[in-house]
Amino acid sequence: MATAPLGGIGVSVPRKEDARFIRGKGNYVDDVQLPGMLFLDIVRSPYAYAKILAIHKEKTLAVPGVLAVITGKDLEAAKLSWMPTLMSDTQMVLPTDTVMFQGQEVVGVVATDRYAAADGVAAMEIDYEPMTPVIDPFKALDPGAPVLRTDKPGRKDNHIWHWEVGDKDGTAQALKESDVVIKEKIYIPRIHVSSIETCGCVAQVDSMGKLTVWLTTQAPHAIRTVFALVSGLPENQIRIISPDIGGGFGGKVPVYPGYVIAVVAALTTGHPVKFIEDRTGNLTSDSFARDYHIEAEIGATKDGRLTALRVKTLADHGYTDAAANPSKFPAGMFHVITGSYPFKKAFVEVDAVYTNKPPGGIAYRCSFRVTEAVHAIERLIDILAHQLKMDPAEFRLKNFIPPEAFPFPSVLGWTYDSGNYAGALKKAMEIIDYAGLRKEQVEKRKRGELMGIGISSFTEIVGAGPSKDFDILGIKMFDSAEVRIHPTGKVLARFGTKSQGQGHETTYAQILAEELGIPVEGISVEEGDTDTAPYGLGTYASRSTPTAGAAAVIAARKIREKGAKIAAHLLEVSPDDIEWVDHKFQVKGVPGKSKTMADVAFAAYTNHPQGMEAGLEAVDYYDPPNMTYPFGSYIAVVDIDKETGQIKTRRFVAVDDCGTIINPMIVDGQIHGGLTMGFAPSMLEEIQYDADGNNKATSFLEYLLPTAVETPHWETAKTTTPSPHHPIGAKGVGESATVGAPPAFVNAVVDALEPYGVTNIDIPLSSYKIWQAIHSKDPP
Amino acid sequence: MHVEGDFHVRSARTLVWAFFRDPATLATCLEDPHEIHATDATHFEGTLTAGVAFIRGTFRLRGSYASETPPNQMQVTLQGSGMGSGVDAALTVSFAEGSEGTGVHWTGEIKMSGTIATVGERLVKGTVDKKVTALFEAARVKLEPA
Repeated sequence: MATAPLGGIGVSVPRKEDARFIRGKGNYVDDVQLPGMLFLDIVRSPYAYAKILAIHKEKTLAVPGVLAVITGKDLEAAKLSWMPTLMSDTQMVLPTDTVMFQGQEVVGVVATDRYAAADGVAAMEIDYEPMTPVIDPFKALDPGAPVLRTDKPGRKDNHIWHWEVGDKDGTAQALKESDVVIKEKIYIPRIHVSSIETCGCVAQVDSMGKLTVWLTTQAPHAIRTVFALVSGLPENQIRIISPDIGGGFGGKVPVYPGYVIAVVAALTTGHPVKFIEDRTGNLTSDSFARDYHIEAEIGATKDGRLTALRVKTLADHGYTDAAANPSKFPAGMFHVITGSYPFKKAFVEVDAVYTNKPPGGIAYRCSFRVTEAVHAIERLIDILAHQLKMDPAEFRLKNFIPPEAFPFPSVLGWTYDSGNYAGALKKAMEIIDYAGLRKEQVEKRKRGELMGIGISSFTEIVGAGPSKDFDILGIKMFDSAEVRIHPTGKVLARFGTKSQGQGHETTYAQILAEELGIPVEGISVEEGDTDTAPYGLGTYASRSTPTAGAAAVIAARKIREKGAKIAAHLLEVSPDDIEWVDHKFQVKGVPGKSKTMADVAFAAYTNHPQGMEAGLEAVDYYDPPNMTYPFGSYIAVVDIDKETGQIKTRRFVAVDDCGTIINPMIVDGQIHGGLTMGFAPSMLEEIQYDADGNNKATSFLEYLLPTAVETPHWETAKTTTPSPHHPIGAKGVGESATVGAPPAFVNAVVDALEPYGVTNIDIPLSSYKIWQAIHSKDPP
Repeated sequence: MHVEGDFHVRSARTLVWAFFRDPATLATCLEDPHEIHATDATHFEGTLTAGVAFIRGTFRLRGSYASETPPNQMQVTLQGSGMGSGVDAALTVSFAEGSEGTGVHWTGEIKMSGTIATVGERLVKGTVDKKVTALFEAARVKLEPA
């Protein structure tokens, strides 16, 4: 491993990008200012489901500064009123005759400044004929329910797809033969990304007809391809630039209608056009996450051995399936739901349904439905442990996949790369003094006080993906690195991913410092410009280090191969006599005879061997052989006020294992942020719709996010179990904590309420729900 | 959202009925800036500038006297749109003749959609109750003999 001066793997190098962020020098889309730039604002539907009878543009066009009004009919003429979603469904850019959710984009207004555009939106008059919306996903499947997607010929219902995996009959038999079977319904509500920076873009068409779009996107290359497919423009005439991003979390993977309207406006007006969502637009129309109605059964022997798992889920996708899941897995990686346990039998089925809501189901905190899967299994494990009257820690330790079983083939088709689940849980138990807490709980219960201890021992699945299984719209899920060493030994590295706060400029530089022996400060990392960066699928689902990070390693090693030949030339020995030792090219067995990478780089441009191509650079498109499987064990301790239902998180210990750690400080930051983002939906976040389809949380007055005041103190620790297939053993950590935290909170709260016979409370754990659980039953 | 209320005024029922049956006259009871006019014998339209919480702007209104049994009862429907919101209201106003004037009772449902419907319901209901009550109170004051 690296020495501190090099700043390689394992060193807490301060984040290079923070030099600009902490001084307010970040460059976001809304910072882009171009001469003659116009502004787009959007008229949104007040109704969840309505016919558009007439659009009266006159008053809007009379507003000073308003230059153009763009409707669905205008786009239809250019065959742009619909666009594909990332799940190969279709989504309206602007409606021509029917609106499908409250807040849907209906008309674009283009003006000389943002205020005139907003005034134009306010002046717009649209006649609607409201219809009864379909809001309840179960009722959407009723035989008499209105068919929402009448644009799809032959469609007779609102069912989108059915997907299943596992041994249906075998699981049924195993459950039948189990000594104990419990069944539980768990709803994981719709939540929103709500990043601080809303979505937006600036579209410009230059004098040569080239389209440049500065865009808040996590996946610039894939978006360029989508733009080319939708618009018909040649892909080389499209440049997507993703500047600094103020939070992505999966919500900035899709293409949103506002982007397309801005591009159309730029093409038609000949001026650059900026579109920046306001908060309400963001919270009402951009893709949502979760909305899974899960019904699960889990079985065990009477001595506490797990036998089988059966899960049936209804997924509310809103009016279109705009999830960003791989084509092969429409429910994402939900079938990692067997979790950290070696079930021999399992069966999972998911049905997706259309409703009059915005598109849902994006990969948000985390990663292709892993959050839903982990929440369900970790809740079920706890319920079953209580049913068996076993301590939930003891029950887990008895059932974990043992370390020697890895690589472990799960019954639902995954091959877990490495793990030591008992190690992580035991470490967490030791840190928090689990035995002591249980004794304290006994004493408190005698006094009628409500204290709960909740465990979550999660297994994640990240790093998509092996291209044989994973694609987005047919584009295989590899990722890339292009590394160039300049004559003076400084490095420019470009990647197909795009950081949104993960610290790629630092961690990628650290990987390259380790592999090339060049200090981290001499390595520049660039991402997000499709004209310069190699093609990649972008950053989401904790995939950057497992894919692009690996590509950096492989590209660096390709450079080392060439560098060895140059070093041999300089040292006048055979290339076979050169080895890479202590970050230098050294003659085997002669430590004093060596060349640094900087020496070799200079020679690559000034004194390279005759017949060898000049320069020193390499590119790698890395197709991982498998996913990586980070894991961890979290323990939450809560106290509950019986009179108010208020939950106080007294302690929260998080032991994470993300394989090889590149930058411990950044990993800790990821986990702290992730835990807070796991705490948020556990306690506060929820998008609710009323019976008319009105979103009831369209500002941060109603959509509640925790501040530092509400956020508990986090205690973090690590175990390290490298991935055997990743070149440096790293696994990815961006979303581990968001996945692992919610079931720990719920398990703690339900544990506290055990005297009341409570088995489940759906998140968010509002004080009112807790109070109801306490007061709906007689005191114990 | 349900609204309901009543008042008593020392005026003849026919006079009270006529007051409520003329949209331009009734509109004089609105606190907020407005422009309302009849489009035919049973329909009216116009604009109203109003606000609830942080949502403030001009709403386009269309209304009708949907059914009426003079001078006992009238049903008024109202559709409003603007500021990304929609309002649909259906009110039944009853007029009961008494020995010392007329008793006016109103009941109805107001349905909101869009941005305005997303504001906390208790906040909206409070504002709507206040505005509806103010409208009828202004009517009572105007109808009360000097």
